[in-house]
Order: sequence, then C-alpha cells, then structure tokens
Amino acid sequence: MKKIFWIIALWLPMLLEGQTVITLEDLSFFKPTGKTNWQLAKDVSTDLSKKDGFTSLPGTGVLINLPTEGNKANLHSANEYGNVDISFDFMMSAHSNSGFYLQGRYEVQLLDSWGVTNPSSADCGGIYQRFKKGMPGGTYEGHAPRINACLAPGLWQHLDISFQAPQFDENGKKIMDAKMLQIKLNGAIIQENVSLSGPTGGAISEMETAKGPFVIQGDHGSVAFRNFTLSDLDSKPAYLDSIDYQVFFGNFKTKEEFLTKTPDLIGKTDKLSWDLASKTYHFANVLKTEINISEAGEHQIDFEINGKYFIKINGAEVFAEPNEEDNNRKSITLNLPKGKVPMEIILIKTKKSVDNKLGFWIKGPNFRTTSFHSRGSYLASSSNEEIWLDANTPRVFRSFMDLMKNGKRIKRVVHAVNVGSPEKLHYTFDLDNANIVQIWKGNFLNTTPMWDDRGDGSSRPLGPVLTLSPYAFIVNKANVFSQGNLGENLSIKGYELDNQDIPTFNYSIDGADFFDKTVIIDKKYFQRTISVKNPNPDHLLRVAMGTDIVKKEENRYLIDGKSYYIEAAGASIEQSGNVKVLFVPATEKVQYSIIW
Amino acid sequence: MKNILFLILFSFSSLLIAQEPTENDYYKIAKIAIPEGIVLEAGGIAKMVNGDIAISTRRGDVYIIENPYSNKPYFRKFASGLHEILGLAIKDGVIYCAQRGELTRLLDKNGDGKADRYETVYSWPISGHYHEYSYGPKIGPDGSFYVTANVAFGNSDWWAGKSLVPWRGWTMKISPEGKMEPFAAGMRSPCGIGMFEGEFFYGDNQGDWQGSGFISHVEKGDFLGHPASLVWADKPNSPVTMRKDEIFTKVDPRDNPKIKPEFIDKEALPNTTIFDMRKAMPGKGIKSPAVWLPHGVLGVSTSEIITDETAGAFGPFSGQLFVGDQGMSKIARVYLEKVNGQYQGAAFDFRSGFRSGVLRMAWGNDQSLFVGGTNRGWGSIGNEAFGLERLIFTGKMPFEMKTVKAMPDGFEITFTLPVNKKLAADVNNYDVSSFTYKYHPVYGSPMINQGENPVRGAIVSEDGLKVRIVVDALREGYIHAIVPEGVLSQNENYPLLHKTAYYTLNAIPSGDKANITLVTPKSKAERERIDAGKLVNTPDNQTKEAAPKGSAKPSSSSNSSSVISDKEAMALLTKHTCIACHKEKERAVGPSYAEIAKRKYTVAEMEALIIAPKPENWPDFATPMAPMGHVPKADIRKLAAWINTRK
Repeated sequence: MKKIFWIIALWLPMLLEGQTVITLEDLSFFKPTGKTNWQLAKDVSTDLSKKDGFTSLPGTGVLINLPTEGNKANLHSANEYGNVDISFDFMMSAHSNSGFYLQGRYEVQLLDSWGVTNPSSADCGGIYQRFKKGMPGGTYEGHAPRINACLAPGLWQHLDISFQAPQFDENGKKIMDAKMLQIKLNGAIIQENVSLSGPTGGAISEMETAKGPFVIQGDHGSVAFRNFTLSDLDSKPAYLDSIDYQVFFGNFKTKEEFLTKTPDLIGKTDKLSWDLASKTYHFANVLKTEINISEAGEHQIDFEINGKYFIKINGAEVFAEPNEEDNNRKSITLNLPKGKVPMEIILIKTKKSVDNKLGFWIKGPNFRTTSFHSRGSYLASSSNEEIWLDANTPRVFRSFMDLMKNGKRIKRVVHAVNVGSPEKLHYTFDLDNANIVQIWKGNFLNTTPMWDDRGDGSSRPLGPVLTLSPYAFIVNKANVFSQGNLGENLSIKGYELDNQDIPTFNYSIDGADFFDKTVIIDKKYFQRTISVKNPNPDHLLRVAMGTDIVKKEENRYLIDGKSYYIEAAGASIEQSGNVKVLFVPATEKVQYSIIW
Repeated sequence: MKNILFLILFSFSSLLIAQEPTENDYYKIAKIAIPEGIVLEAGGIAKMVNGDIAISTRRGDVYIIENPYSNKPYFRKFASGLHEILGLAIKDGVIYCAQRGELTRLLDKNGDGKADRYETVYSWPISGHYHEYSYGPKIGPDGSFYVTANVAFGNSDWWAGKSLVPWRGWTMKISPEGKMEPFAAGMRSPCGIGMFEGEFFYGDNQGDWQGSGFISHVEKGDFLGHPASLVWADKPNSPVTMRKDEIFTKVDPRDNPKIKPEFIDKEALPNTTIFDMRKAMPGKGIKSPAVWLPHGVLGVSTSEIITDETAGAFGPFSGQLFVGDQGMSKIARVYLEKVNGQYQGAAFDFRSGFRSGVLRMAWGNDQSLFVGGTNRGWGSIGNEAFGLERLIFTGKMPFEMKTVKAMPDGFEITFTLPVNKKLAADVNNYDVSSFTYKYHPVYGSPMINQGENPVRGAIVSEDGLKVRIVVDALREGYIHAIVPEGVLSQNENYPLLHKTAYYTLNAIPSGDKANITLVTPKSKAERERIDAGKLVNTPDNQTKEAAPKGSAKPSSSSNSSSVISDKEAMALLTKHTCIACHKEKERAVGPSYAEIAKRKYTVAEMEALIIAPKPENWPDFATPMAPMGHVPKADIRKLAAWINTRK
C-alpha cells in the first residue's frame, strides 16, 4: 500500500525527500579557509547603527563572519552544485556588505539596504553587476530587485534562491545561460527568471561550468547566517515514453460505457492532452504511457483536469475523480521506483459548460517540476485583470484586509484603513481596535480582489508583511493579555489629513480622547505618536504582543526572535504562559517606534 | 428598413400611422464626458447647492463635477480612499456617504477644495462578506439618515442570505449626532432607496425570499420579507415584532446547507405570498410591496428611487417616482396612491438605453436627471463598465398612461393626451390579466396563479383624458397587467409609448361602482384571430412578403423543425422578457445567444434549462436566471431552435 496524501488547490511548501538541512554544528560543510573570520556561535546581535558591531554567544547553530584586516577570507562549500534550491536566514550588521555566490560565480548581493526606497542591482537581493564589453548603454549588467524587502540591521532576514546551472553541449560549449529562477527576500519575490550571461564581479573564475561551490563573501563586513536548507536538483528529470491514445465519441457518464467498445480514434503522441480529435464536445480519452524515473523516491505529481478522470500509476489507481464539479489542481505524493513506471489516464468530458483542460506536472526528489502536457492542453492564463494601487504621494485607502500569519488568515479586518507612502513603507490601521495591525515594505496594494468583477471588498499588501497584534490597543491592568477587540465603548471619530495627506486618527473610549498619528523617520521606520485628552489612568497601550519580547538596551526591545524592534520609553513587559505584552501607560503623550 | 408603414386594422376603422414614436423622441440621453483615467463606477450622486454634481465611485473617490450642464464639465477630485461608496447625500452643503462599514461626513476644513476631515458619523458592524454592500444615506424630514445593509451569504449554502452581524438586512436610522436606531428588517439587497412624501421607501430585487423586484414603503418596525435579518429582532433596541419561527409555520425554509432549494409547485405547505403573510399575521409589521416591478419586464435589479420634483419641467409625471434598474440599464416609472392608508400603485416602463447599469439618479439645476451607471461584474444590458448621462425632457408630450388608479370595480386610467374616444370606449381594445409571486426560500419566483380579467366596460371622459374600465375577477394582493393596446391618441393616432401598466392591487377601494351596462368582450382567441387576419401587416407577414419567391419556409406551426425568422424570434424574446438579460452577440446580464449556441445543447436540453436554469453552468455571471416555466413550451422550442442558429 502506497502512502498517498492530498493537498487540494494549494501549493504548500513540503519538506520533500532530497532536501538537506545544514546543521552548523561544525564547519565541515565548508572548506577550511586558513583564517578565523568565520566562526560558529549560539546567537548573535548587533546595533542598529554601529558598523561591525556584532556581539555573540558561544555555541553552534549560527555562522558569523567577523572580518578584520588580514583575516577576511571568503567561505567555500566543500561540495559543488549545479541546479539547486537554497534558503537561509541572514543578519546584516549596520552598513555591512556580503554576497552569496552560486557556483562561486553568480552573486546575490547581501547588504544593509535598510532605508533604500528604490533599490539597484547593488542592493540587498540584487544580482550583482558584471562587466560586459560592448553592451549598449553601459558596460555593466546587473539586475535590481523588484522592491527593497530588506530589514534593519540586527534582525533575522530570510532568503530563498532557486538557481538553474548553465547548460553545455557535449563539446563543452554553453548552450543555455545560468538562471536565477526565483529569489525571495523575506517572503517577497524580488527576482524571477533572470538570465546570467556570465559570472558577476568577484567570481572565483570567469570560466562557467556545470557545477561549482557556494561561496560566501567574507571580506566586506560582518554578517551572520543560520538555517541553511538545500535541495540538490541535478538529476535527470522524469520523462514520458510515447503515449498510446484512444478516443471514444459519445456522451458518457461512466468509463464502463465505452471501455468495452472499439475506439473511434487511436494513435500515438508525445505529450499528454485532452485535445486529440477535432470533435471536442462529447468524448472520452484513454492515455497509456510509461514514466521514466531516474532515481527512486518520493515524487510530487500535480494535475489539473476538467471532467471526470481516473489516474492509474504503477498499476494502482491513485486518483479517481468522483466529483466532476471540482476541477481544482490536485497534488499527490508517490514513492516511485527507478525505471519505467506505467501510467494510464482516463478522461471523460461530462459537461459541456466547462472548457477542456488537462495539465500534468511531476517533481522528483532531485529534479524540478516538469510538465508532461502539450501546449494547448493546459493554458496558463487568468480571467482577472490586475489592478494595483500606488502610493506615489501619501495615500489613505480603506478596504477589508485579511491578516495572515504563516500563510493562514487569522482575521479579516473590516474597518481597515491602509496608509501608503512614497517611502514605500505602509501600514494597516484597524479602526475597531485602534491598532496598527500590519506593516509592509515595497508596493502599496493589490486591489484586484476588490475591483475586478464583483470583488470581495478586500485588498492585499504588495510586499513582505509583518503582522502585528490583531487585538485591542487600549487595555487596562486586568485585561492586559486580552485577545479581544475594543468593543462597543470605542467611539470611532474618523481621521484628519495634514497638509501632506498624512492622517491623524481620532477615537475615544471611557472618556479619553485619542489623536493618533504615525510618521516615517529617515525613510526607515514608523514613529507613532498618541496624544490623549482626558487620559484615563487605567488605560494601558499595548505597543507589542508576541511570544518573545527581549529588552535589548534602554527603551529598545526585540520582538519574536529578532523579527522587529519596538522603541518605547517607560514600557513594561508582562508574561502569561507563552504570551508576552509590552505596554506603556496612556499618558497625555505617548510615542513609540516600530523598527524593521 | 426605412419608412415602413404599419397598417393596423381595428374592427371598423383603419388608420394610417407613420413609424411609431420611441422613447428617444421625448426624452434624450446626453453623455457626460469622463476624463480618461477616471473609473467612474457610480455609487452615489447628489446635487451640490450651486448645481454642481457630486458623484462617488466604487474605487472610493468622490468627484465634484463643475459645470456639468455644459459640454466642458470639470472633474474635481474631492475625496479618495473610501470603501466602495454606494450612496451620497448633501445636507447643509456637506457631503455624506455610506461606505461598506460606516456613514461618513466629508469636510474641507482648510478650503483647498478637497476633503481633509473624514468623520465617522456611525460605524456599523460588518463581517467582511463580499455581498455586504451598504447603501445611503437618504435624509429624512427630521434630518436623520437612512442607511440600508445587504445580507451576506452562507459558505456551503452560498445561495442563502445570512445576517452574520447585527443589522445586516436592516434599515438603520442614524441621527445627525451619530445615534443609530434599528428601523426595519427583512431587506435582502436594498440598493433601491428614496424618499417620497417625507417617507422612506426602499426597493429590492429578485432573490431568495424575494419573488421579483419591488418598492415598498418602510415604516419603523416593519418586516419586508427576507427572514435572515430577524436573527437580531430580539435585541433590546429592535422595533421589529416579526420572528423567524412565525414565517416558518407558513413556509418551509428548506434550510439545508447541502441542497439549494428550487421551485416546487406544490409543497407540503400551501403556496403563499408575502401579501398572504401580511393578511395572516396582522400587527406584525409585515409589508408586502407597494408596487411590484415584474422581474425581467420592469427590471432585474432595483436601484435608486427618486421623486419627480420638477413641477412639470421634466414632463407630465410630476410627483411620481422613477426607479432605476442596474441590470436592465433602464428606468421605470411608478404612480403611487394611498388606499385604506397604504401605498399601492402602478409601474410602467419609462426609459431604457443607458450605457451602463443604472444605479443612482439625481436632479440637476435645469431639471434634467443625472444618471450614474456601473456594471462592476453584476452584468448589465448597457455593457459599459461605467457611465454618467443626463436624461433631458424635450418638451414634446409622449402618449402615455399618466396614472392608473384602483376603482371598486376596475381601474381609472389617465392619459397624457386625449384618446381616440371611439377606440377607448371599446372593451376589446384592453387586455387585463393578473398574477403574483410565491413567497419561498428559492431564488426568485415564476409568475404564479395567472388569470384573465375580462374588461366589461369602458367610460371615456368628455375631455378624452380619462377612461374608467370595469374589470372582472379583481384579486387583492395581485399584480394586474393593464394593456390598452388598441387605444390610440386622438390627434396623431399614436399607440401608447409604453403599453402596459402593472398595478399592484393590495386593496380594492370601496365606493360606487360604475353606472354602466356591462358588455362581454370578445375572447382572446377571437381577438387574436382578427389580429392575424390576412389584411394585417404583421411583422411575420412582412417577412414572408419580403422573402424571395420559393424560399419562403412553411410556417413554424406546420413544421416544428424549421427555425423561426429573426423577427418572429425577436417578438417572442421580447414578449417573454428574454431581452431583459440576453443579447444576440454581447454578454449582458446573462450570456449572449451566440455563447449559448456554442454549448451545442439539443432543443430538449435547452428547453429543460429554460424551465429550470442551472446557474452553475455559467459561473462567470452574477445574476442567476429566473426559471421560465410559465413560457409556453411551443415558444421555448421555437426559441431554442433559433438560438442554436446564432453561433
């Protein structure tokens, strides 16, 4: 009995066979450098503004670079890689610079780009420039990230890189450039499908090869890493043998109605397809073939098919579609042996009202997703038009807003006010809780969900989001851990725009009248100022809630494993179970900053 | 097709008429140029004190259009960033609007021509469901604001209206100081709102528990029909005494999250109507519609209700109501009267042909009517995404039924122009029939309990402006379709511009019956035989004549497999209101005939789908098709065959 599980209509990240976690218990993953700038530590922290200001706790699990004059080697992996997915956490110290080289040749820039509004190829997440002779308009080729998704120094950031090695013919001549298939910084896609015509500056060699080591730049400044995960995807992808097909014409509801009949059409083809005959209204197809598997192991098979269908792989029925209304993409994981694996797909067109569609993909333990369908059989297309909203000047914009945590919706904020800025730092204010519930960098809003067709009244942030507390901002001693809303005592009064269109929110509760304004400091972070008329001595303002709140220095706190800073004078921490709250008394004027 | 002369024969008099006048001869639609880049999906329109027009959009902007009466209007952006504004009103020179979640006042404090204070007058609960639209405000005589709130829908039972948080499906009355009073319940999709004689009126459209579109007078504590809202009726500040359980004693709610309820002719409980409910449970505030707007005829999605306050400058309908329709991109007209203290009256077609779905209307300074349109995925016959137009009265008098009043034994029709008295006195020139809609949890209702109402007498007034008809078999709670088809105007011999009045007869007034000898009209079949006589130049006959000799097909009645002519098809499509939602080649409220033809349905399949539509076959369309079981099967078969030739 094979292990099968379903994931319906979702692309969830799965830890598949073939993924390697680099433990950093020691430095054995890397080649010895002969220098001491690369070290292991248990934890590391740094200052927001002081250059090279790393302090570390002894131990393992975190890789840190503390370069000094004459002691600043680059770090090479011991093994070499071709097609690879790699992801890791990193932390920059202030004004620091490093880089992560695929195959020692193609650099993804790591830099303290905090506060940069319009990033270039030299900023964090950029494909660093390379010298290229004879290129019109300049001699350097690089690729800037779509947005600046970079966080402040001293915070853990996350990078995911999907890299495709250059390809060569049997004579060693390059036939396809290396590619950054995708780079995600802090969850935001910042690069996609970037062709690299050759090595970038500072490569270990100008000669391109099928494999090469990872190289981390160590000679420019202090930087830390942890949680390396890599998938070596260098195996030969699975492929299909020629397909024997049969087509039956008729209005069938079950496969028994036609399987015993003589097919109306038979033939061979090399791609899976529903589109085998010119009559396409009432039909059933039977497709028989073999999948060639180069390496035994878990394979993820995805399919998106309209109609009623049955899939048999390696002799077992792995999918029978009883509900013909459900045409969503399905995903199954199968343990497949090496060699030829028989497959049969039976597809019945049962409804006239849906367009025909057959898409089929396979992803192996050591190769990337490969499609087996013909070009016309599955059309990647969207019926929606995209509608984006910029904030080239400060912009206040209301919508429903879904708060997400770990890919899941935790709340729909219904009286949400989104505030965007040309500095590309944006926040969502929840009028029902007087709270800043999320902040993000990059572009302002995707309003497609609200404005295309009927719409659902909601918009989505267009950048990496930091979700903050979704609960009441104003509490008292007795309910300091409350996970509720402000409730009916709150009177929302609206907002007023200043001469730069920056809003001050006004609300009152229990006789206290609040004026609440958030501004951007140095293009880097938010500073929120709350003025209170008739302050109520029982009111406490919760400036942060989380599982982990650590006081770092005077008035500065690190929240949730160095995800962001809160800077607040006179704040206190209280803990209940695994919830921590940072709060200040609601005096006539309260000011605090959210730094990330 | 120029200058075709229609020869119409009536009993002994034959009259020659030039091409029939159209709506456009009397009321002109003038487009207002919208600057490129502005997506003006209208949600609210209001006239500023100086005659400028304020208009709000789905995209959250409020524009003030300066000089909107000229051919160079200027659009000034006054406010932005608001949440899908679906209404706008001016009070003391200040703009108020309903966002999805609150009533907002917009103030320009620093005088730079744009709003800088966005003041929350009242913030209401909302769950965040897409269907939770909020409409308004309308301003009452006491200065308070009326706002209405759509219901949400279930998750697995996506067809069932739900009130997930307080006051969804209610009318809220909000004081200028921001105090909210729940006012009335039972709304489903209350986009249609308006004031008449200082009273709040609301319109809804076909949906679950709503057989068809209508407008109703809304008083405090009323229940308008949709039960979802009653989940909050027990709250201490609720004035509504109606309760869900009481409805379900008369109607099976068929509340099964797995099975979408479909129309059943005979359920275990006897068929009932909202009017029957009102009669059965007096004192519960149940309101049946003041005036039904038959679905697919006068509209599919009721919008703005506006009173003609122009004292004649907009034509002969001063004091009457105009009711917009989003899906059919048109405006209906309503004459209201009070019988036994309750509003009832007649609805008529008025003007169609707007470029987008008609959502909001406001009077301009010059007594023209500003009409703001939006399509926004709801679908509309005028299939532009948005539009702003003005409707202008030319000053020429259309030949219309101006009013229809209920009489103890029939109706009194007032015409805008004197009638040909001889024709108007002949009962055979009138056709009256009646029907109603079922009250049930199903989306919409077919017309039920259809009946004929023979016209037994017609008394024409001396001046030719009034006819009193005596009608048999009047039924309270029924819509009476009154069609003086054969009545022509005295001077120009024109037929009526709009031939049907739909009178919702909630109460038959008491009083004297007409002092007249009753006659028996010819049967309908007899009249139709006359109409189909050889001398009559019907559209069908013309087609036959126009066709080259030898190619003429046998008539459809003698050979059911042949396809009817386009003209015949168009006549049937119009008669059965198919054209309310479908166009030949373009997408409208529903798919085009060409798109349907591509599905290659057999005639039998299509017949089944017309009688019991399957909206799930057309997931891209917002408005489900109404079951058309009342259409004669022979006609359905003719139309199905014709549609299949459209691809």
